[in-house]
Amino acid sequence: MAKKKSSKSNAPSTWRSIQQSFTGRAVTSHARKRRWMINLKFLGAVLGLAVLGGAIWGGVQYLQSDSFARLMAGGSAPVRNVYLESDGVLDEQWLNARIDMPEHIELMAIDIESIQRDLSSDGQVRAVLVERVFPDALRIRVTERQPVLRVVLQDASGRKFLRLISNEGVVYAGKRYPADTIRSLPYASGVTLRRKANGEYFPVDGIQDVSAFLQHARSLMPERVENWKTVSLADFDPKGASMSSRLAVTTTQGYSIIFAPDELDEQFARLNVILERLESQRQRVDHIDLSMQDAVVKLADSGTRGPVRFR
Amino acid sequence: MSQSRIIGAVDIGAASVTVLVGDIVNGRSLNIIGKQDATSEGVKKGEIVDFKAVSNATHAAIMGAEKSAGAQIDSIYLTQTGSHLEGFYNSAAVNVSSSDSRVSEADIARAMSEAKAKKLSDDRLYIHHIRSHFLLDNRVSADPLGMQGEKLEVGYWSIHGDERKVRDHIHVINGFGLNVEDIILSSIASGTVIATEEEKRAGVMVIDMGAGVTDWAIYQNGIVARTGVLPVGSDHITNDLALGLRVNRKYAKKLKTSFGKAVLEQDDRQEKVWMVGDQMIGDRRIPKQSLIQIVRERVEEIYDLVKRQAGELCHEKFLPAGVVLTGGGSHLDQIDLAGEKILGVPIRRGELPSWVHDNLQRHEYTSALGLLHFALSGQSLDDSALQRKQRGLLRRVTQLFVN
Repeated sequence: MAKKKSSKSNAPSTWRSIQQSFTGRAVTSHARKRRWMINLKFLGAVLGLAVLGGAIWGGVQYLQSDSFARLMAGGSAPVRNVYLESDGVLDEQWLNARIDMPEHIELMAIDIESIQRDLSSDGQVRAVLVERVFPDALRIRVTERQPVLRVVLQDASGRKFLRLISNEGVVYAGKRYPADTIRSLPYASGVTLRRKANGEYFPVDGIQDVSAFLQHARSLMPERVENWKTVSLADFDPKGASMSSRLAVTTTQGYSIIFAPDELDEQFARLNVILERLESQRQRVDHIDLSMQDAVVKLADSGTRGPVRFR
Repeated sequence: MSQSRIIGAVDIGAASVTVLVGDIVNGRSLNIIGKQDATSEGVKKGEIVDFKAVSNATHAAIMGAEKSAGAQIDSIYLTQTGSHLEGFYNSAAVNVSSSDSRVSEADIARAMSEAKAKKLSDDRLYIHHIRSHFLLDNRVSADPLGMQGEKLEVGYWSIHGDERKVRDHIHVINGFGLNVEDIILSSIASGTVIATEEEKRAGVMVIDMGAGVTDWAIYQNGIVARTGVLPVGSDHITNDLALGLRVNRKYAKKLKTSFGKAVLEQDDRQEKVWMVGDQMIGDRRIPKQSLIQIVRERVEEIYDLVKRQAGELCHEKFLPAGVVLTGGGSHLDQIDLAGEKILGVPIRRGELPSWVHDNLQRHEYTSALGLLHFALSGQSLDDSALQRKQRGLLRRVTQLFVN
């Protein structure tokens, strides 16, 4: 305790040069009691911090452990069931081919986002939702694209293959469709497909209009539409800007029908009249052009005769 | 997030030890959160004569104050009094060094350093250096930096005390495990809160009449110009009564409190008062005139001593705002009137500021409240404003390099 005043120093002393320390001479029972309390508080604070630190460390460890994942899962167990719900034709066979799930894998160990990504990459799938159903099931809900047209393509080796075109214009390899469904789809022609870097195709423009056209036609004259073999988009302007936009249908009987994209009801009505009259006269037709104000029919055996106009 | 600092203000007097606990929030606001008084033992005329007894009383008071505050004190502001304290005025003049005769920081620092350079004897140390205004070619200037002139002069009222006595005070606090952050003279601590800023600017004397000592301070131009301590206080009045009336100290104190006056009036000449008041065996009647005459003699003597110690400054010319009385002794009836007769200046009993809570509106708390005021303002008495400014400038310059 002693003073710290230096006789050698030139600076005058102030009270601040007195060394302050916890001196034994001045310690009273009050001071001792307070010191004990401070030490106890300090010890308590250190212990508290240690306990808190330990708890945080333990907590982090537990959060990273499988036990926590199981707890959060309300008791996760190995997957026993995978439920597939689809609004289309895709079935478990397709699912098994798409995903490779190890046996006895725990529900919480499944990477559902990866499954979702994998299934979404199939062009036939419009949307997919993968859910864990605790304790031991996985539910996959699939919304499929609906095919409108089919198209036959050819690769570099000359191999031909079939692709379907959905309502949105997506070109995809249809799977698990019944043969009748495929057969009922007209072929698309006059379409230029462009490939993406991953080998897939860019969506085709205007298919929504074609789909509406076909749906309308089916609702009015289903028997006739069954005979429609191809729909050509060669002269079709998907933006509707061109006055000469046309849809050309080729039937299984060999004649073609040319439609303008608007006033379809009228065109279908005239087509019915024309076809009924031609059928009653047992005449064969080469093509029927409904895109003009007056329908133009060219008979197959008209020879040098010009086309007949129907009003 | 608010920063809180718990400060203890300790006033060790001859009659009692007073501790106030203040919570200084963000250095801007003060909440007084605890208080404790303890009967003082071992203090005579403001000086410690029984270290153990003083330690016991002080530690008990601090402990109680901490308990009432529910918080642990971080550091202590301590009052200092006692007849060992002395003061002197010392000035120094330097020639302005720059070629354009503009005062630089170095000139100011040199003048201040020289004015405070006076060496004391080995057993003395400085408590405060209180700077008066600068004189630049005899013109008064609060801050001469950058001003033009030839000669810069500055003076200090330097207060010094006996090293062992100051050390004893500090070590009493250290014994409780706390450090003393600042020591403030009792009279200055009291003056800070009891006199208004206007009074300090005009010129006022603050007299803090304690039990063992009477501290006084004179303010001129808002600054402490002179201070002094007399080893006489209200306990001496009690002693005089005990001796003069031949009663024990307990009854002498009771008589002083109940019937004591500093001015004898016509009605008091015939009146007699009961010593104990129960009118039983042992009780007796005492002439009030005798009682008051004894009190008056001592009070007048105290005022006379103050007047002599303060010298020429104790004059109405230098004290337009008069004298403000505080301390436990100022409760005595008509003590202000007695003072006016001796000092020749108007005297009023001080009133604590309105921000002080009702249960602290007592003159016994004036010094401790003054300490908390110093703790809140964060200023030291020594070269406060100018040094703060220089520190601020230096800090800013340093930050330029740090950043």
